[in-house]
Amino acid sequence: MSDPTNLAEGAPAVSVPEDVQGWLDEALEEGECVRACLLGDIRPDESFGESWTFLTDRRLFVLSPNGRPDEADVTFEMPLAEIDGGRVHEYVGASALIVTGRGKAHEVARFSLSSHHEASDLCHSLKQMIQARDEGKSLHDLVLIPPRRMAHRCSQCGRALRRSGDVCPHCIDRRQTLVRLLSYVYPYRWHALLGLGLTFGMTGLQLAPPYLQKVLLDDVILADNLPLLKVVVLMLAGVYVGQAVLSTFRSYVMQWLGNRVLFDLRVRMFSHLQMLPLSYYNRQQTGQIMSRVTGDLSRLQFFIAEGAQEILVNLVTVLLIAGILLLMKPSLFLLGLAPVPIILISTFVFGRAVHLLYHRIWRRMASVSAILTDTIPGIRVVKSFAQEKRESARFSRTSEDLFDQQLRAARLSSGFFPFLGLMTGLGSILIVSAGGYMVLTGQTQPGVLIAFMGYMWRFYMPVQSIGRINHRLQHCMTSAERVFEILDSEIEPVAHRSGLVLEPMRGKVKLENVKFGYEPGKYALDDVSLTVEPGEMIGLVGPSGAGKSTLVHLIARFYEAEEGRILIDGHNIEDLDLRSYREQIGVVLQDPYLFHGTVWSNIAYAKLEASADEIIAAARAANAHDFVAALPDGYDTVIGERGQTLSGGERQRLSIARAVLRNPRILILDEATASVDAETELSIQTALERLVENRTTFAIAHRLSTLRKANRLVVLERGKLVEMGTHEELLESGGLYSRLVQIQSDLSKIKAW
Amino acid sequence: MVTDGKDSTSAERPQNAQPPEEGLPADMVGVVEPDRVRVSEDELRRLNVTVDGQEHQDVRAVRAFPLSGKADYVSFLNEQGKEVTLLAHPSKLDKESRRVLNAALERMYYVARILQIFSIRETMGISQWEVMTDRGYAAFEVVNRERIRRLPGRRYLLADVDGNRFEIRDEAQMDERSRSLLASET
Repeated sequence: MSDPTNLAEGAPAVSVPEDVQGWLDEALEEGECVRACLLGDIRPDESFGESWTFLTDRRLFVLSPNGRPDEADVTFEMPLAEIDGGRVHEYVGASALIVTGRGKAHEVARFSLSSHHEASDLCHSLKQMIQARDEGKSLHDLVLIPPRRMAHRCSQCGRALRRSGDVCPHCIDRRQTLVRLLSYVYPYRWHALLGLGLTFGMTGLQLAPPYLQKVLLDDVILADNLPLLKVVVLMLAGVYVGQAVLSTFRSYVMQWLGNRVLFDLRVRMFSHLQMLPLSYYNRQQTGQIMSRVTGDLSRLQFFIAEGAQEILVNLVTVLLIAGILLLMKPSLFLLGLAPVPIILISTFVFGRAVHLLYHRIWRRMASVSAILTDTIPGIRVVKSFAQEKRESARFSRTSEDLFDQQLRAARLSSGFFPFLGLMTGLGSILIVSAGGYMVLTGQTQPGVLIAFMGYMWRFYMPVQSIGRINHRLQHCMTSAERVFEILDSEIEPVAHRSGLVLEPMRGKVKLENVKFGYEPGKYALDDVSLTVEPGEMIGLVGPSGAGKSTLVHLIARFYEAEEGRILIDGHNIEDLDLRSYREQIGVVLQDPYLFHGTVWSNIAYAKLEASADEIIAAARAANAHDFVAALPDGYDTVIGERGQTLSGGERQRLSIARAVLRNPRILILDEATASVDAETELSIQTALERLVENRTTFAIAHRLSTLRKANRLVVLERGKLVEMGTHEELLESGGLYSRLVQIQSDLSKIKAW
Repeated sequence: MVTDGKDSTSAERPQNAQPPEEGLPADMVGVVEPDRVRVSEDELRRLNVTVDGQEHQDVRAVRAFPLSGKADYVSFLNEQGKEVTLLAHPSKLDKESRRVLNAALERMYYVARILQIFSIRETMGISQWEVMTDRGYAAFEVVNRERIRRLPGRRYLLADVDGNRFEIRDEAQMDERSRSLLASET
């Protein structure tokens, strides 16, 4: 931790390891205070190694350890007065901090992308300090505005997070996965106990026949006791009937329990998935998520219904049989134990090997299903390029990989189980030979030998499965972890933060120095500031990849800004109640998604309790009523999975009707007319114009003519706001916008010609 | 059946129709040979490229096929990210240009090569790797399996949580244990 006396108030906290603090204390002059620091982790010779760059209120300098303990050299130093600027040079795998001054540029430090944020912080601070210096302000008292961003590492343990701002799986109060899993069983504990009781009863009954066989041989056959035979037969009958009855009940109770817990988990998982932010879906393959909801859950069901009980029952069986056998003939039992260590050890070793293989198989399976989710939806492209054979080949290659691994697992297990059988056989050979000798020498009755043989078989089986407990538990626990991982992913703020409710919103939107990136270090939006008055229509223009969609996604709060903030009616968007906020936002996308259902239900998706009149009014406003009325079942027509039976323009108009019904205060039109023909566009256009009135609107369009109604146009280029103004102003200024207009009017001339 | 289809289409084809030229015209590629190009670096550490006597300042040199190496083309991009020239055969540049360009490319594609894998531990979908690279020991975390890319020739490219890159040139060159660890992870 840094010495607080070295910090001016408001300066970002600089914390460095203790030894570095030692070097720093030595290097600092009296009264000099550190404003920013950067760990460089690549040496000039490109090998890994550290250096520390410090920015103080007087200078910038670098400390590099020189190999001797507790010592570091100042390898670069430049007074602030001589520095002209600093920037981060971004390369593919690493970056460099370049500082210009004295007419030259100096590479001050090289660092991996892990230090990227610190580097941009340092440049940010440097910029502010240079500005203050040029304005003649005191640098010592300068309050630096620290940039705010989301961490993609846990702030407590520094471990990586799967997504920026996610919960750290190591730092949250995570009960053991097993305990957590069992907590889902807890509400049904009586059922679980009943099932357990039935299972124990069944196990007990299973242990009776070998003993009855002993009685049969020793006390009935050898003793010539006919009345006892009847008793034994009756008892055997009772045991079998009891087993059948108990097994029926047990099976039902356990299946009920497994299905019930699975049902809870499945519903919970789905509603959790609904609440996860969009950024979650950007980084996960849909196929993978779906396989967790189906595959991993059914493995858990098996564990809850069978696995957990089996483990308990096996333990009890082993102990009970051991007790019975010890009472009957201790010496013989100890002999029978001989193969047990071998069985236990080999099962354990086998379990580990097979677990590794299963892990591989699981990965390969994921690859196979990834190809499926990739190719099946893209089947039109595959066919249009006649690549069916190639895709088949790709699939078969991946499947072959899976096949190979499965064969390896098969080889392992085919060899293993016969080996186990051999070991068990060995045990019974020992018992037969020693026991046979004992019977012949009269040390014991023949019935005892028969009972022993029966019990030993029942003994080795649970021993085997006890050897596999670890592996089986692990198998289930990985599934459980994957399920809990989804349940632990942080949901959108709405669920645990009841925010400020602005109803009705006026619709004033203000962006202040907003930065956002989908990947660390790469900004899709870079320092964008913009104020939009209520009811104003803003046209967003720019080449693709300029950040237009990102901007509206931030306004719709699908993502949160990393730096800077967004104000709605003067309130920070993050303080607003997400639900209430989203309810006042309407979004029309380029490729509208219609759910499987009727036209009615698709329009009413925005407002479930909408009346027939409202629906029709919305459809009319969207120029959709006429074609809907002409459909065979009118508003009750079922439209396909993705609205296949409708044309692109018709689907778009339905999605506009949906937005109209919502009556939003802020409207987002993301390329709403991009994928339709000119005539349909006109029809959609007039529908949109009705919709836009009196609402704050953000419209993205490539066809600039679409934006003729916009009050102002905002031109973005590579994440930065480059121009802003009315159509005429921008044309006059002759910037990027006027170029785009020129190109488009040239294009339309060609078309007209 | 396939041959039938072919025959019928060729029979229907009008006789005066010209078959399209083979491939796309060569000048579409627009590569520039090294004798027209000079690369230099100035005092401000900016990379400058001169094509046919015309200088473009502060450019970035990137490879067109950094991973597959299908062709040894180097693209020079200006500050707006627009290509100013696409250079073919950079190894035939003059000596000084070659030195500057190689240094710039070296810098651009900083990738540590994994020589040995000590361990890969996975918890909650995040795998933690401990490896020895040609630049020294490294420990890093991979959060998304998509960031382990398998390239032709038993080659792998990994990107860690921060975007740092690691490469396995040839899986077969590693020791048995490293290979087995890798096989479980990919």
